[in-house]
Amino acid sequence: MPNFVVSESWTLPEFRNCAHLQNRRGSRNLGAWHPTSISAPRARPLAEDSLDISVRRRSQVQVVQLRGPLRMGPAVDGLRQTMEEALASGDTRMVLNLAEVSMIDSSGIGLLVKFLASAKQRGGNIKLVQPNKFAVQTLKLVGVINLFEIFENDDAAVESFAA
Amino acid sequence: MSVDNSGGPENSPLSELLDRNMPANSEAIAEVVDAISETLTRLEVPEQKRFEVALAVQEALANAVVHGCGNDPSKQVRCRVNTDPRGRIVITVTDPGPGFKVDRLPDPHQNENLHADHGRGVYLIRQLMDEVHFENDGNEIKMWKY
Repeated sequence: MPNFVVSESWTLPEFRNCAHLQNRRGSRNLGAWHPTSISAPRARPLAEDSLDISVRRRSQVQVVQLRGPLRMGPAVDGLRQTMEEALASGDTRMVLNLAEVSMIDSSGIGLLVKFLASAKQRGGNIKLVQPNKFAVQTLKLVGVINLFEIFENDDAAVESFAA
Repeated sequence: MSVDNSGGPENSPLSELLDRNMPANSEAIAEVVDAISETLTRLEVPEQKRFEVALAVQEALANAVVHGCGNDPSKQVRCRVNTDPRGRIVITVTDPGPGFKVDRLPDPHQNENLHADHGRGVYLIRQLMDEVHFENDGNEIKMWKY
């Protein structure tokens, strides 16, 4: 079993108020982003049942911003395609920003676990940013929370790859 | 949260909140789950409970679509949401499939299953809901949230 680490910079939000997360997201300084996407950002209108996926590259790391529920169907299929493309391109270092992911079902978890293993086999990793309290609860319930390194913001997650 | 497959609450009259038939494809699940969430919001069910019910329904419908119907959109999955006289939310998902052996499901916490990309749905349902029963050889799941 690989040695997994939960970053000390991220205090797992047991049942933190989501409004607090929203305020923090709004004030977050994204720094000097250079949105050179390896794969075209998916510009679907955000509806209740759709997952918006946007990908940016920073410091050899693919930062994937997700908005919406990550559940079986087009959402999981879309993220699977995004991650397959990244791995096929040799991009094994990924950050998934889950701050605006309202729900992760078992299909979404299966996808994350599968691609985490694939990335690690290739010398990379998939790190999570700001999963909300419900996502954390779900990850804990099925026992996979400790498989992932979790960070408070994209900057910290990206910088951890250099450590 | 208890898991009891040996018996259930005695039958009592139910108030119907929702009764939907949906085609067995994954794209149809979201609409039903979201309709249930909206219904529970109108009933002022607390957010935590709404989330747990919504996720459990998501999992139950996904299982019905994939395992009960083989992703065949010509088949129908039925989802009913009721409340009983005690105010408990009762959700029933029925599919036309052959059922399955409930006692042969993997434990996702076992080391050999931890990295699996599937096999967590029923386990999640049992963790999220207060009571879960499989009926008709497994092609109907009935779940209670107190």
